[in-house]
Formats: sequence, C-alpha cells, structure tokens
Amino acid sequence: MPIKGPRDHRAQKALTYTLFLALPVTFFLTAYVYAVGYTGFVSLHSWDGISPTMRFVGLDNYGSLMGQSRFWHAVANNLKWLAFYLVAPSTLGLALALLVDGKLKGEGVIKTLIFLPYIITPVAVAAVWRWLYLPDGGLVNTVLDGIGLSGVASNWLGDRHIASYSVMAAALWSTTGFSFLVFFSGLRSIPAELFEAARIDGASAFTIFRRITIPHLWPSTVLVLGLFGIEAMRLFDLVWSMTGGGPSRASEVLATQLYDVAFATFQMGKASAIGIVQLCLAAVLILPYIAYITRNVEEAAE
Amino acid sequence: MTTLKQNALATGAVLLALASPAMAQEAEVWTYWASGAEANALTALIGVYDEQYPGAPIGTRVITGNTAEMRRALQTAFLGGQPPAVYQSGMAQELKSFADAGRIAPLDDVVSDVPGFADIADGVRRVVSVDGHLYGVPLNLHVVSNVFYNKAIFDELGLEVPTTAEEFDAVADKIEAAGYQAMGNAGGPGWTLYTFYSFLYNALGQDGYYAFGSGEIPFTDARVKAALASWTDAYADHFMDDWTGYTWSDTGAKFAEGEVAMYQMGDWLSAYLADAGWTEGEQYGFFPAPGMDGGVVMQMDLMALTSGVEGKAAEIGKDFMRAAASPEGQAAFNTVKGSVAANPLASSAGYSAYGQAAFEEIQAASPRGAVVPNMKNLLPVRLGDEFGTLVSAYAADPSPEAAEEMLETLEDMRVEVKEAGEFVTW
Repeated sequence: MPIKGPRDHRAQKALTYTLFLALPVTFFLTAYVYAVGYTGFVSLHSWDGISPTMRFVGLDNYGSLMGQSRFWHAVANNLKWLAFYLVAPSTLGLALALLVDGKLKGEGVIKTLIFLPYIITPVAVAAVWRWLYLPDGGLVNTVLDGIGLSGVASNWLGDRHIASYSVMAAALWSTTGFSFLVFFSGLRSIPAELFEAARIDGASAFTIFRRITIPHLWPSTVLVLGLFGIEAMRLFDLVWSMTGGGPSRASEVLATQLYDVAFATFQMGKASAIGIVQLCLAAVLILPYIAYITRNVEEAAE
Repeated sequence: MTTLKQNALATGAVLLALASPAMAQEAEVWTYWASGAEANALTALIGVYDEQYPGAPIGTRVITGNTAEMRRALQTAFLGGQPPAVYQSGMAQELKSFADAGRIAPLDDVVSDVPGFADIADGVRRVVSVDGHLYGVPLNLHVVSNVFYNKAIFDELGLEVPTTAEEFDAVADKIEAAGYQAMGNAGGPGWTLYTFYSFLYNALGQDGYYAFGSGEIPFTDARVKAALASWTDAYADHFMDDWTGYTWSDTGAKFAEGEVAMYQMGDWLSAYLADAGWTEGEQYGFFPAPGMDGGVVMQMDLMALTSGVEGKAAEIGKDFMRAAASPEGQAAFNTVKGSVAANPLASSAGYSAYGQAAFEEIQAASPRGAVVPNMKNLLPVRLGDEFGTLVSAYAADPSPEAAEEMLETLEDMRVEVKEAGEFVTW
C-alpha cells in the first residue's frame, strides 16, 4: 500500500471540509440569499402571486408604502415592540435571576416554573391569553373586579388603544423565562472568589452588584438583547394568533401586514416591498447595536 | 480514505435524488376542511365519488387555515409545477384571480349534463363564472343574512320579530331596557360588515347591489349614506358591550348562555348552537335581517379544477367535479356539514330543522334572483378588505363625522381601484 504524502493529506482534508460545508452553504444560498434576492425582485413588480407573469413597476410599491399611514403605523408598532423587548423581559429576567440565585429554597422548582412559559408555542400562549383577556368572564377582568379594581378592567384585545400592550403582557409572560435562564447561568459563571474578595475589602452590596455582577453579566446581556431585538423586528405569531393585527389593524406589525397584503389582498409586489423594508429596518436598528456591544464585550474580556 | 470517497459519492447520490423531479402526479383535492363535521363532509363526498367513479381514487390534502393559507400553498404548488387536480376556493374575485392567471380550467362542458346543475340560483352562478364561463362548482351555501334570536327572551318581553330597521331599533331598545344585550357581534374585519349588507340591499335594490359590487355606485351616494345611518341606529348602536374583544364563537357562547338576545351570523352558528343543545324553533328562532324582503345574502365554498394537471389526474379531477356537482354528492356533503346544497335537486332529507328552513328560504328567493352574494367577495379584494376594516372600526365608535370620513376614504379607494381596472361587472 503506497504511503500518501502531505499533499494528498491536505487535499483529502480540503475535500472533507468542502463536503461538510456544502450542505449549509447550499442551504444558506438557496433558503436565504436567493429568497431575499427574489423578494427584492418581486418588490419591483406588480404580481398577484398566481399569474405566470409579473409587471415591472420599478419603485412604485415602495412609493405607495411610504404614502400609507397603515404602513407607518406598523413600523411604529415594531419600534414599540423593540423598546418593549429591550427593556421589559430582559430587566424582569435579570431581576428574577438575581432574586432566585442561591437565595431561595426550592430553587429547582422555581427555575422550572419561570422557564416553563418559554417552551410553550406562541399559538398556545395566544390561545390561553385570549381566554384570560375575555372582557366578560376572563380571568384578568374577574380578578380586577374581585379586588375592587373594576375601573381598570378593560376590553384588553378589543380596544385599539391598548391591544398592542395587552399582547406585550402575554409576550412578557412567555419570554421572560429565556432571559432569566441566560442571566441565571451568567450569574453562576461568575467566580465566587471575586465576591468574597470584594466583601473582605468592605464593598457594599450595591458596589458589588455594580462593579462585579453587572460587568460579568455583559456577555449574557449581549445575547439576550441581541436575540430580543431580532425577535421584535420579525414578530408575527403572537400578534397574529391573538389579534390578527386588529382591532382594525391597531396592533398590526410589519410581518402581519406583509402576510395580509400578500395572501389576503393578493399584492405580492407590495408585500415583498414590506419584507425588504422590514429587513433593512432590522439591519439598520440592530446591526450597529450588535456591533457596538460585541466590541465592548471583547474589550471587557481582554 | 476509500471510505471517505465512498461517503462523498453516497452524499452526492442523496443530493441528486433530492434534486430530481418528483414522482408522477397523483390526483388530489386540497381543502382546508381539517376536522369535525367539515372533514367528515368531505369524506362523505369522496364516498359518493368513489361510488360513481370506482377504480380511480382521488387523494386529499388538508391545508390548515383558510383561503389565505390555501392561496399560499397553491402559489408554491404552481411555481413548483405540482398543483392539485382540484382545490377548495372562495367565490367571485378570489376565483377570478385564478381564472385570469390561467391557473384554473373552465367547467362548462364538464358539469353541463349533471342533473339540476343548470338550475342553481342566479346569484350563485354569477359568482362562480368569469367572463361568461363556469369556473367553480358551488358546493355548500351559507346564509349570512339571518338574525338568530333567543325565543325565551322574546317571549318574556312579548316581542314580535322585527321586519324593518325601525322595528328592529324599537325591539333592541326594549331588550336593553330589560337588562339584556340586544345584538351580538364579534371583532375582525368581516363580521360587522356582513351585518351591513341587508341595509345596502334594501337601499340599492337587487340590481343596485350588484352595481355597487361592480364599482358603479360611489360610497358617497346618498342611498349608501342613508343605509349607513339606518344601520348605525338599528344595529351599531345596539351591539353588545366590548364586542371587539370577542370572536364569533365567543359571542355564540354568550348567545347560548342567554346574555345576548339577537345575533346576526352565518348559519354555521346553528351547528354551534346544536352542540350547545339548542334546536331551531325551540330555544332559538331566526328571521331575515330587516330590509331583505325575501332576499338572501349567501356565501359559499366551491371546488375549482386546476389547468396545470395532465393525463389521468386531470380526468379524475373532472370526474370529481361531476360528483361534487351531482345532487347525491351535494346532499351527502351538506347534510354532514350542516350547510345547504347549491344544486336544487339535492335532497334536503338529512338537514337539521334550521338547515331545512334555510334551504327553503333560498329556494323561495332563487326564482326572483334574490339570492345575492356576500358583497366583500364582489369587491376587488383590497377594497373589500378596507371596507370591512373601516366599518368595524366605525362601529366601535360611531358618529356622523366618522361616517362621513369613512365613506370619503372608501370612495377615494373605489376611484383608484376603478382606474386600475380591478372591478368586475357582475
């Protein structure tokens, strides 16, 4: 049996790498690059999605979007969701992680209870919360009535002024478990000696939190905020299942509007334009943020 | 290393197999009837098909969801060259968009000799035809212009069934004075609009109703304005509290619990009430929405035959359409689903008490051409969608200013849509 030289060996390694990479690269090119490119192409056309031919309309779909209050309302809602995701479930997750971390009995059970909602599919979350929110006989209003707060009881999903916030409350319940778990693991990975040394040096609890806990939780924070930011921009299922974007489009976000425009009103070109704008908006809002905090994490790690 | 090369070859072979053309087409019917009475009704229809055309089975596939999901699935199927032989479609504009795109085949020659099919109601035929050619087999009709009412509440308050908008308004006032919710309604872009059709029909007349759906009557027409004002007084002002927060079935539950006295809804509500143990003529009754004057507003599901299927699958598709159009197929389907057959020769023997009454209502209206389609399906889709959304928003907080603003917005859109050539003359 001939002995193979290093050159053969390199070639074989290259072949191995190529084979392992072929599938993900093919998948990325067809399911992402091609799909985005094709969506961009469709966005320049008028097409009902069914006809064999499309009519080129240039940037008309984009122009028409820019002039529609419906579109801007959805953009504003996405921005509200972004603010919500970056603040509420992340802060609550952090607070719960700090509260639970080594301080409570039955920690395992509490951790499971907090994390449990996160593994429930959004459609099921929506079904449960729709039921909780029923104006008459729903648990939320019943409890409010019971404790003498009937003035606060509302038509949670049917009032156009509060429907989005009501969905956000359901999202808070559903997603806090994720940030909790990430922060909790982050807390557990901080070396105990640091806290010990700080205490010996006479640092107050607040100083320890500010100078040790927070900086060491930075990688967890990057992960949580980054993923929540992306979630806010691509949000679809919870809104669609709870309100369908209503009442009267009040809780509509870009993804639900895209779906409605594409498949309920047959305007694939305009829907594709919404998709492209959504992608650009997500990129503009989230990429610099991720780049910025990632750089800071690297600096902190050095 | 030989093993590595063998693995590479095997991987390549698998990838090639994945990329190769799919197997020969099998005839399938795609519907979104996923479970319960709907799925059982389809099984019953396929049973009739198997009896009429033995030895050529047709497969079924459920596309979970609604017309939008079906459209999404069909879009992918057409792009991939693998459409089903037959699929469940909506009527009018929905059907037209597929016919205009050349994706569905005309059925004039396919079902012309099916007994009774030539006598389907004129209003039904209009919305399954495009440019004078038949493109869909109407399978099941649903009346959406009936008002269900709680007989116990009506008896308790000594109320008569109202026939005009004024009488309806007076009855609703009495019901509210007795502490009940007068009129059920549900959130979403469709249900509220459906309740407006009878007022539109009454104001515009039968021909005017079609003219409005064809884009020939402005939203700012005095008759439309008057219809909206009358509907606001009789209906919108009497909708139950917080209706925007309920689905149609949530409100159905409130009706069945005796909290709501009247509820205008499609006749699928009768199936819901049957599950709650209610029978037509005993716990509840129904009456035509005020102003219908013997007319009926209906919507339906229909079957369309795609034009991209060839060979045996295409023949099976055509045979299935004949079975679906036949009196036997229609009777089998509708008795199970709880809807009403479009083919007047279909036996109504298995219908519920409500189904029997609705069938008779349609048969009585049909000779006068007074079976009219759901307006939302006649209008170009984006206008229909806007109409439903705005009427629902208006009903939540009605005022003369809001009415004026809504009609002007819709009129601007009507003009734009008309200029774009999207209206159809029905």
